[in-house]
Amino acid sequence: MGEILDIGRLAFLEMVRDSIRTSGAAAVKGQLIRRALRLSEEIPEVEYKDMDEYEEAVKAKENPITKIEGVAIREGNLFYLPACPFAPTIKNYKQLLSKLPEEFSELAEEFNKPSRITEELKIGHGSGVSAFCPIHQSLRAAVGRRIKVGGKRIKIYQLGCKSANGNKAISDKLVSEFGVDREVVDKILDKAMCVYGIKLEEV
Amino acid sequence: MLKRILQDFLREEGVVMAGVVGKDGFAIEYVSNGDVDIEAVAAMTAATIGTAERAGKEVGRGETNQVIMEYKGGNILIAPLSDEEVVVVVTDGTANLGKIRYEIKKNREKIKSAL
Repeated sequence: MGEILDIGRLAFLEMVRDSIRTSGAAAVKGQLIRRALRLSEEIPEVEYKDMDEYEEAVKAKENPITKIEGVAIREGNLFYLPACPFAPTIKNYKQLLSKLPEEFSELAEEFNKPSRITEELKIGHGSGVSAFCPIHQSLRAAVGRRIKVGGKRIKIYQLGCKSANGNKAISDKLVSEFGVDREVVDKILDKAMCVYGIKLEEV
Repeated sequence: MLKRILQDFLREEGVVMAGVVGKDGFAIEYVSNGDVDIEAVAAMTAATIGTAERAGKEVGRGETNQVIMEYKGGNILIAPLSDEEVVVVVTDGTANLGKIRYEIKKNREKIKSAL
């Protein structure tokens, strides 16, 4: 416990833990996704002329998605994050409590179950590894709805994630819908914590 | 089909809203006789049923059959349909609570199969 604790983060995690315990993981999953949907409404809409300009905005940290998760690295129409944006929060929590609470595993499990909202947002369905995935994946998906590339709206497919202890979670359903080989996602996860794909859809 | 079943609830005296929501708090279908903020109702229904289920487990009372909240101006009834969905009915003060409870039980399987 050598570093100063961020009690804002600690309080947030404790509130999430307590809500799971008292209201159940399904209700908390929904709460986190609704918060993400609401927050995304505050993000201004942007348009890029093509995916190269989109990527330039990522590198320049001007892309709205970059603002919520840091700089992702592009491989074709796939993007990956070398680090989980919640890593500092987890580290902070573990400074005080040696491990994340059991309730968080319950939330991750609930998030991975099929549901209408995760189907709509193309998140979860086996791609979640932690209690932070519901808010991160849904916020990214919702912010993605506010981005156009070449006049088309982007649609983000969450393909996989990796936990801090190295366990990989890949959504076979979303990988198949996106149209990429599972092995490609698996290989990217060797060097990444989070992988997603971007499709362009007619508005 | 689901909407039609829910509309049958509205024919019962005092029922102002009937809906099916996910336990994650997202509305699936609903009908109402007036202005209802379905997003708010769905979110609170999820929190309520979640808490009721946890409380039942905590005190060793098993699965939740129904949750009934009685107010001066009416009632809210919530009943699980499955592991994922619940039905919620909102009434005013004129509703026959026993009749609504019976209708929920009677239509449970029909609603489930319409999902």
